[in-house]
Order: sequence, then structure tokens, then C-alpha cells
Amino acid sequence: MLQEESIKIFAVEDDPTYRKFLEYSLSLNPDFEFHLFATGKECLENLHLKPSIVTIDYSLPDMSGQELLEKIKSYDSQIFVIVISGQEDVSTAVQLLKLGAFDYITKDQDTKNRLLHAVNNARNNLSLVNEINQLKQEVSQKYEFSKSIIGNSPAMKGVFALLEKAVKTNITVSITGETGTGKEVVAKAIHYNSERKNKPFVAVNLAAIPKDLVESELFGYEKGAFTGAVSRRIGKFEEAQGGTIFLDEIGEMELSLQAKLLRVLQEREVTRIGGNEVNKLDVRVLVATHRDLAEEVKHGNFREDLYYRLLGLPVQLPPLRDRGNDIILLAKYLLNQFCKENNMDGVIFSKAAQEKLLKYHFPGNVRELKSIIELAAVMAEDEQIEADDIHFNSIMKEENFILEELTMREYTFRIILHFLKKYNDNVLLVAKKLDIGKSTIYRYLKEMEEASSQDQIPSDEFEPSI
Amino acid sequence: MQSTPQQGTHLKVNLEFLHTVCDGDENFIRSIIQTFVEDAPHILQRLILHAKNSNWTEAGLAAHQLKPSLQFIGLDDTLSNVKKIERCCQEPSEVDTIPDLVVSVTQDISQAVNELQHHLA
Repeated sequence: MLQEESIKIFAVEDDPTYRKFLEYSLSLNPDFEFHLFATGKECLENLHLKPSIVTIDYSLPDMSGQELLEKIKSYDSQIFVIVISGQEDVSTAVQLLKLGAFDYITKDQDTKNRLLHAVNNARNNLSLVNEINQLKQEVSQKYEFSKSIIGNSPAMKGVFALLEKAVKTNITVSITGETGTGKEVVAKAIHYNSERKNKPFVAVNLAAIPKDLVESELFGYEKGAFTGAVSRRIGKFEEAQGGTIFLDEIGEMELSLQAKLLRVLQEREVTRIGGNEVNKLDVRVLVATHRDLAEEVKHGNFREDLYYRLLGLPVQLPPLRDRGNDIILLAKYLLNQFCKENNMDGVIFSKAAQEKLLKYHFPGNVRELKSIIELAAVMAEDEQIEADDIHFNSIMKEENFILEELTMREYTFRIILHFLKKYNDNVLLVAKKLDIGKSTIYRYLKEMEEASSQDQIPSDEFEPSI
Repeated sequence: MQSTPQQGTHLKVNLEFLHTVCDGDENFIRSIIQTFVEDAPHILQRLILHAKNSNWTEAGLAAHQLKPSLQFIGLDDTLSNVKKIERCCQEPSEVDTIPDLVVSVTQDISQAVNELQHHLA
């Protein structure tokens, strides 16, 4: 708990009586580690000891409190400076607070309580600052390439090589790939591995925002710009100032707005709706789409000039089905993650389960794999995921059926079984639907029965999977 | 030690402020009184000297240094005069009032030191 940790405080006061008073006040809290100085110079010479808080007297013999405040802030802007002054002039206090003083306390009967209150406030702020820095570090580590993007297939090695290049400059990166291939994960990885990692990462999914609101979301608006604009609001571009904006599903943007986006990207400045103020932008742009933008340009759905402006470094994410053994690496990673989040003991995959995963073609890519793995982890008995625990999405079962690479005879069995089940074993109707004779169906059923009794076809294979 | 002067005595000091800021911590009260008794006469001597030599900047600085201890000891009238001296030192047109104020402040502080020495004894 940061609250209970010792905190280093410098107190600068030339008056011996008041220095004694500060010493007494600060000694009331054993968590305070404080050092007393009589001059500004002594304080500055000891800043390498990294105080978190410095209290300064406004009138010092060698420099004014304002000068000392500025010097401390220029040394380390994170140090909280509390000014303690005999002056009750409000304008002095305002001026010092504007210069970055954390608090301004006058020397009177309440000084002790106000000082302790101010120090505690500063300490709480410090805790928050430390927490934010820690979280930033954690996020940064979370998005290290090796931790956030799993895979060592040739296709992914190519992607990694491109990402290494992407983080070295501010080049616009256009990420394409099927749904669920991890376009946003890649965008975040680029941001958190770049020099902008301590600045904001703002993701905007253009497909998720109503078309009428996209412009105000991106560029912001001034109060009264339109009905309902009751106060000024900055847009996503301004929100990402100094950092990165990720425009997901850029292919969904309307043509009229594409022209405005192009202008913002070319001029590197944005004007809020209903405003005149031009705001300069220092924002890196990453875009993603599942569409083929070149095709969209050909069909007149996407501006050619914007296409070239956004193309930058193209990164094509391979579909999971083309990533070979990455499927197993990812499955194990996702399973571990799920187990950790749900306090489950280490669940593992059986060989059969792994083979079943490798045979599937994952139209929903990593997103689909994740949901399959989570369900399998829940369904698994004895801490091992078996093939039967893995359930593929029903809307894609037909394609999966083809991918299983059975013999023609086995396929025929499955088709007949599926239809029989669907039409309540009405052989006449099934024969009509499949445009075959009913005797053919009976013949197949007989063969099936014989094969089953000889274990030629495993019983679970008889379950229709299409 | 008494926190405030007893009724009917001639004490100039008023330790109520000092008691309030330290919640009656006797060690702290004693330490502040000790500091006043030891330091205030020296600062006062500097004030007298600089005022005598019409060295108003230095005189103002000495007056400024007297303020915190006078506040702690509760010499409110004296503190008010010291503030006047500090202000007048910055205004050439008002320096004529300083000598009388210095005399008054000297008497007050001398008496307060005497009283507080008895307190410490």
C-alpha cells in the first residue's frame, strides 16, 4: 500500500522558530522522512536525494519562493511543492499556483493542520501518479510483441518483421486481415512499442458509431454547434494528441467524411465543428479494415487520394488457418490465460483435441479460437480437454465437414444420416430430397450397420456433423 | 508551565497560539521559547543597528525575521509594529516613523525575554 510507505519531504525555511515548528509538525507522522534546509541553495543542492514533496518559505534570504519553485519544477516537474508564506496576498498565491505549486499555505494558527492536510493530499496524488505509471508499464509489457502476438509460423514471422519496422518511425500503418485476426492487438502493439507509448492510444471503430455521429466523434465540437451540443467536446484526434489514433474499419467511412479526414491528415490540424480555432495535431495514424480497400477504390466507395494517404506501411494479417502450428500455440496460450483468470488448475489438451483444432479452418480466426477454447475449458473433465469438448460454431459446420477429409463412402453415410435425422427417419422423403432411390438408402444403412459392428466406422462418426 | 499569562499579572507574552498549534506539547513549547530567548535579541540588535544607519533594506529584513517568533510568543501588538517597520522600510517617505517603532519593539522584546527566562527557570 503506497499510503503506508515512507515519503521524503524537504522543508525550506530560513527562520529558526518556524523551522522548529515545521520539524515538530512533520515529525507527528512517522511515515514522513524529512530534511530541513535554511536556504534555497541548500535545497537545490540536495534534490538528487529525490524528495517527493518540498515545502518552501516564500521569503528566503538567497532567492524568492517563486524562483525556488521554478528551479525545483525544472529539475523534476513531478515534485509536489507547497508554499508556506507570511503573505496573505491572493494574487501571490494565484501566481504561484499557476507556476505549478501544489498548495499555498499562510502562516497562521491553522498552518500545522493545513500543512499536514496538503502533504497527505500530495501523497495521495503521488500514489495515483505511481499507480498510473505502474499501469502504463504493465500495459506496455502486455503489448510487447512476444507477449501479445503469439506465433512462429512463416506467415507471422513476416508480420513481426514488418512490425519491427513500423515501431521505428511514425509511418501510417494500414492493417488488413479477416475478422478476428487481431488487427487491434497489432495496432496496440505498434503503439506500445513505439516512442509514443506513454501518450494516449485512442481506438475508434468507425463501424460501431452511427454515421451521423462519426464527424463529431472524430473532430469534436464547440458548444452550440448543433442542437444538443450543450458544451464543448474534444474529438478523438485531439484526445490522441502526442499519441496514436487507431481508425478501425476505415472502409466503412462515408465518402463525404473521407474528404474531411483527408484534409485533417494532410494539414495535421483539426477544427472542431462549429468552431474557428485551428488545433495542430501530433498524432500517429493506424488504420485497419477487413475490406480490400483497393477494390473499394475501384468501385468508387473509397477515395483514391485517401487510400494512398492511409496506405503507408501495409500489414496483412494471415488468417489462422494459414498459420499451421500457431493454432496450437495460441490455443495453449488462450487456455492458460482463461485458467488464470478463472482460478482453474492447469488444464491441458489431449492429442486428439489438438488434432481436431488443427483440422478446423477457423473462419472467425483468433476470436473464434478464443471462444472455442474457453468453452472447451469449461466443458473439460479431469483437467484435460478431449476432442469431444471442442465444439465448432454451427454456422460453419458444413465447411468443417468438408475439411475433415473423409472417404466418399463415409461422406455418403454422414449425408444420409443427417437427412434421416432431419426428416424423422422418413426414408421416402429423404430419398426424394437426395434424388436417390429408397433402396439405395436401405443399402447404405445396412452397410453402415455392418461397418459399425466391425468397428470400421467409429460410433461417434455416425453423429451427423453437418 | 502555564499556557497563558495569569490574570492580573504584567506578562506581555500570550502562549495561547503556541499551545494551539502544538496541542499543548510541552517540549515543543519550551523549545520555541528557548529559540526566542536566544535568537530574538540578536535579530533585534541587527534591526537597531541598520535602522540607526538608515540601512532600510537590511532593517526590513531583520524586521521580517522577527515576525514568526513574535507570532508564536503571542506579542500581537509588537508583531503589528514590526510589520509596520517592515512596510515603512520599503517606503522612503515613511522611514521617519521607524525609530519610534524600533524603540517600542525593543522595550517589548526585552520585557518578553525577561518574562520567558523566568518561565524557563
